[in-house]
Formats: sequence, C-alpha cells, structure tokens
Amino acid sequence: MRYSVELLLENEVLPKDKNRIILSLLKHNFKSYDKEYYQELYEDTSNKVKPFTFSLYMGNCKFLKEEINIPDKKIILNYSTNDLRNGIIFYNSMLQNRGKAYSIKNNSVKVNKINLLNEKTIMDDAVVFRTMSPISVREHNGDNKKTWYHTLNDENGKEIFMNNLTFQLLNEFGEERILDFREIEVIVLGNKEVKIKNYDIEVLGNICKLKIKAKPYILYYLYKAGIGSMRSSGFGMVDIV
Amino acid sequence: MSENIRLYMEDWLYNSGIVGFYNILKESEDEVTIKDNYIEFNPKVLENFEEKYFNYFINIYEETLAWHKIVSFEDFIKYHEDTDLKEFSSNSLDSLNKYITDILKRYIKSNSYVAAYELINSDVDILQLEKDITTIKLNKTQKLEDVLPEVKTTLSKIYKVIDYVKSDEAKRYLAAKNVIYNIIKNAWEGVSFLNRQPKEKDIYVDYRQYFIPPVMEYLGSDKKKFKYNCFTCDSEMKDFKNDLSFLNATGFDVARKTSHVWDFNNDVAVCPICKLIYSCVPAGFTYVYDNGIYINDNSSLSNAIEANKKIKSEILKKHEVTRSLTYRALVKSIQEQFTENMKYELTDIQVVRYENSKYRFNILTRDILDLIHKSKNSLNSLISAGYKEVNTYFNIYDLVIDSLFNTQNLFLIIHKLLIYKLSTPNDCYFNGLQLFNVMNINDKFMRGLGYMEKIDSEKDIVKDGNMQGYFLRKEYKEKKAESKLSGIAYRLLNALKVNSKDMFMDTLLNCYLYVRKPVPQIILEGLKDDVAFKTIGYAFVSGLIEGKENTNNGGDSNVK
Repeated sequence: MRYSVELLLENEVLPKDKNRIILSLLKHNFKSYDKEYYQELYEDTSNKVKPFTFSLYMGNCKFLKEEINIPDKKIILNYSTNDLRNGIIFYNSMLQNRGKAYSIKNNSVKVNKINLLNEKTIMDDAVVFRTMSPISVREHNGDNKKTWYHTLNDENGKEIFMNNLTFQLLNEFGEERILDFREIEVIVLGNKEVKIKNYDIEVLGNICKLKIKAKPYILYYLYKAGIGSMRSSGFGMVDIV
Repeated sequence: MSENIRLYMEDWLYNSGIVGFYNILKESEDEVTIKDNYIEFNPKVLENFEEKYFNYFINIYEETLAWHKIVSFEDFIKYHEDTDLKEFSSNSLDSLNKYITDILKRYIKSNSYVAAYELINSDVDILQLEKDITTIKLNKTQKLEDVLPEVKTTLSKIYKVIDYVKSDEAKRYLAAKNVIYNIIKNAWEGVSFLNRQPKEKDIYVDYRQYFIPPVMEYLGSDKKKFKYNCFTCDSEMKDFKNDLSFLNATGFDVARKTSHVWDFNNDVAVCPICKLIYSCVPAGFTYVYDNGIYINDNSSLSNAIEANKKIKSEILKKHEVTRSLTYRALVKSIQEQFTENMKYELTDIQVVRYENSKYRFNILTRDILDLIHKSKNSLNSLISAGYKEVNTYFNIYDLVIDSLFNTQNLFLIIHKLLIYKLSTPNDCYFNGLQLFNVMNINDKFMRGLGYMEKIDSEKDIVKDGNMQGYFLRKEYKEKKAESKLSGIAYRLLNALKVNSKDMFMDTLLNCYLYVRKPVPQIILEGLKDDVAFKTIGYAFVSGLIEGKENTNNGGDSNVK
C-alpha cells in the first residue's frame, strides 16, 4: 500500500534532521489512534523490524547550513508498507489527526490530504528501481561504535548491501526461500552519494538507480517495504522506473 | 412349508427392503417379529401379498396421488349442491374449469388409467362420461347467472365420474396405477408390472406371478443340491437367473455388460426371497415426487423402522408437499432429538437420498447435528428462500443442508447469492436477512471445524461486518454516489473469490478515502485470519448492497 500525505507547515524553516520529525509525527499518530499497536511497533520489542518505509518530497526547497527552507510550506510524505494492517492503521491514524497541528522545533506540522497511490504490478523478474529516499548500506554487527555506512560505488559496499538484502529477505520469508535469494542480481545503474543528517549524525546515503533481477514476489516485496537498512526511519523507499 | 423365515440386515438397500417389507406386513396387521438385526415371519403372510403390497402404498401416499386429486373435488360439488349454487362465484367457475382441464381430463385420459378401465368390473363408460364434460365459458353478453344451469349439469356429470373413480374396485386399480408410476418406479423398473410389454394386464396378478411363486418353489425345494450362493443373503440357490438389473442405479444387464464382474463371469444374483425383499425397497424409502430418503440406522432393525417411520410421518403429515420436504423432515427429526433428550440418536448414521435418479450418501456427524440444532432459527428462515438459475429453481435451504451434510463450507453459496443479488435481482427469491442467516450458519460451521481461533468467539463478526457495509452505503448515499456501489461490490467479490486480501483492501481503502472515514476495526480483525477475512468480507458486501436496517439479532425489520 502506498500513500502520499500532504503535510502543511506553519513557517518555512524546517530543521535538517527532518526524518526525525516525521518519525515523531508517525509515532504520535499511531499512539493516539491505537496505543496497543504503537507499543507493538515501538516498545514491546526493541529493534523490531517495522513493515514500512517513507520518503519526503519538499518541492523547490533550499538546503541551508543547519536547516531547510521550504517556501511552499508543504511537504509530501510518501509512505509505503507491505503489511495491510499497518497500512490501514496508518490511514486511520492520519485521518484521525487530520487538520490538527503537531508542534515541532520552531514550527508545527499539519496533515492535510491523504491519497492512496496505485501500485504498479510486477510481472517480470527484473525491475529498475529508482530511490525515493536514499538507500542506506550499513555495517552494524550489533556494536554502535563500529557502525559504518558504505557507498554503493565500491565493491565492498556492494557486498555489504547484498548481505543486508539477504538478511532482510530471510527475516521476511524465512530459510526455505534461501535459494531464491542467492539468485538475486543487483546492478547499480548510477549512484550519487549524499550525506543525511539523521539523529545528529551525518549518515552516508545512496541516491541511485538499481536494476534487480529476482523472483517477482521478492521484487514486489522490495517495492513495497523498501530496500536496505533503516527503512522505517526514512531510508530505502523505491519506485519502479 | 410352515417353517419361519429369518432375514438379517445387510447393506442399506437391502435394509430399506426389509423395513419396507415390515411396513407392508404391519399395515395389513400380519404377524412379524423383529429382533436385534433380523426379521422373522411365517411364509403364510405371503398369501395375498400383492394386495397388501399395493394397499400399503395407496394408504400411505393416498393424499399425494392423482386419484385423490380427482376425488377430492367431491367436497366442492357437495357444497354447491347443498347451497343450490347460491355461493357460486366467478372464482368458483374458474376453479371448476381449472379442475376440468388440469385434473379431470388430464388424468382420466392418461394412458395408465385407460389401460386400467378394462380391468374394472363396471358398466360405466368412463371415457364417454369424460367426453361429455366440457369447460364452461362466459361470452361477453353472458352473466354468471346465465350459465348456472349448465354448471349444475356439469357438476352432476363430474359427480358421476367421481362416483365411479371412488368405487372400491376403481380405487384398487387407478390408485395402484398412480402408486406404480409415482412411487414404485423410483426404486425399480423393467420387470413385472413395470415391464414395457406386460403379458398380464392385471397389475395385482402380475406382481404375484412374478415375485411370489418363485419364493414358494424355493422354500419347498431341496437346497442341498444347490451349488451357488445368494449375492445378498448367502443362502444356497440353484442358478444365477435372478439378477439385480431391475433395481435403479444398482443393477446392470448381466447378459450384455459382463465387464462389471470379475473375469466376465457374472456371480451377482439373488435368491427369490431377496428379490421379493428388494421389490419392497420403495416401501422403506419415503418419496416426495422423485426425491427419496432413507435413514440407514443399522444398529438395530427396530431403530431403522422407527427412524424412517418418523421421517415418513413428518413428510406425509401435511398436505403441502414440496421438494425440499425430504431434508426438512430429516432436520426436524434431528431437532426433535434434542428437545426430547434423546441426544445424538442419529449420530454417525448414513442417510441415503434418492435424487435425480441417483443415490447420494451422507453420514451425519455429531458436530453437524449439533450445528443444525444450534442454527434452528436461521435454518427455518431459509425454507422459502431460493433463486433461479437458467430457468431452474434452487432452494437455498436444500443447498445449505446439502453442503453441511457433506461438511462443505457455504462460501460458494454465499458468493453465488451475492452475485445474483447484484446481477439478476429478479431471479432472487431471498432477502438480506436470509443471506445474513446463511453467513451466520457458515460462521458457526467454520468455528465448529476449529477455524478462526484467533478471533474472539464472543464477537459477532458477521453482524459487525454487515453493519459496516451498511454504514459505508449510507456514506455513499449522502454523497449521492450510490450507483458506484455495485461496481465496488463486484470488485470486492472478485477479491474474496480469489482470496486476495490486497485487492480487497485496496478497493476498500479507496472507498473509505472517498468518504473520508476511517477503516472500521472489524476489517482489521479480518486480516488476522483467512477464514475470518472471507466471513467478514462477504458480510460486508452483503451489507453494502442490501442496505439493511437494524438486524436486531435476527430481527425482522428489513428496509431496502
């Protein structure tokens, strides 16, 4: 399920750490609509894999040193999930908080329009994805100090990306599909490294085009749930070219 | 000769024959003993057996016979003669004309009756009488009063016919003819009086000659020299002459179709006694038109007799005879069990139904009996419900019971009903409440099978789903977009048919986005479980297209 939600800002200035703001808004909305579901997602188990991803479109904005200037005072939040329940709760919670101002640092944000986007169907076993939010290739290994973010431009980064991808799919589909995962081929068609401020640290992201060859069900899942690490905090959302 | 004969219970068809045989003898107050699994009688009872045989059928099925239709008009005639045609209205004239064309002329001239007249010892030329009777028509200038004299003579003519038909002698043959073609023909065909070219015209004599002398001869013969054994009762017999080809859907032509038996050597044949018993099969079954039912309770013979007696009295007690009666009678006796604390007497018993010239078998399990009892009210509401498909009428009650007996879920029926409700509402003879009841029964059925464990059993998901569908309809109504709903309903039904939650939710979300309302909680409930998804989905669609107001736990208000 894909939505685009129009968010209205009270003034033009938005801090650069924008994903954090959206996440806060999401959490607030989930919590106010269904507290149990919020706890299920964020409190009951730590590091739970969330079934959604999102990206932001800010129109003709200007990146300043510490903040972003958005003259239209409008952000489009693109949201995609592979879980129907999550999709419906997201819709319901957004609808419930529609028109209510949610205050953020020096500003406030308001949900305006909610649209359901048509999902493209995948019939082939190869698809070219375009990122809507940067893909994060993270080497984590359970130790925050050794965490490292890679670029898809070098071989090492690609290898780690493939490992992450397999891990992500294993988590979703289980061991029995592992042969399908080994067949996956990824070709990077073009990549631009970007630095994103995420919770006060600069993170390396990849804005790229990827050609992925895999079974259609895998492609469909990636299309809906996003690719790479930290999907539920605004990374790895893709669209089909 | 006077040695008693014992017959033991065997397979279902033979059992129904024994039960029928017992019924016939009981009706004529002969002496028979029944023990655990056998019946014992003296060959003396076979004297005059043909009379007993036909008597039984005529007595039991009397009210359903064409003969009775002719005779029962007597009351009408008597009433109008007594009142001297003062009460005779144009309606009476219509029913008189209808009687003359649809009943009197039709049956009196029918081939089976015509063949019987020569056997009846009477001077009356019935066919001539029939020719004299004509319908009475009013032309434009005439009033009802003008034809009353004519009515009077017609009535007296009809009275003569009835008088003839009613006489013992005529009843003996005419009613027997009806019995043969309406009842007996369902069980066997081709031999004795059902032979296409009978040598003997008197059906009574024909029956006796075909079935009884072989029995007597067999009883008197020395069985020690016999080499073969009866296929059914295993007693010795002389040859393989008595095959089973006369039984419907059971026997085969052993002369022409030998491939049914091992090495093309037929060993399927029965002794004359068994053949006689098989000729009693129609007395064991209970028939309504060409549908029959027999409960093969083979735990003991007395149970079998009792169970089938109940069914018989239930089916034949009322004058209204419809096709669905066979099932309804069964369900009724199931429900009686519960009220009379004879719990589960019918559990795990085979029910044999004769339908479209085929036998069908079901086993009644405890769960299904329980379910049928629990859904008593829902089921009763379905009796009059039906739909038409390519000019054939289907009764929903029958379909539901049929599926339940076969432990099949009702989603297919529900889907069909919804589709018809959407596409050809004129062929649907059911309302939303009845549909709702079918879904309720299915919900209970699925839960009984252990599905939907994750769903709170206290929650009435069918009702909730239905209500939410109704609310959405209301929203659309307010937006004056009601015409969009049937298209949406089709899409939802397609999604349900292929079990696609994605497709269903996609359509549904679009609807809710359109009306700017949150998706109800009950829909989320459906995402937890596949069966619950279908249950809720169908309930939702039915609410969406019906627009039902206040279900009130099976209540009655239903506003379109």
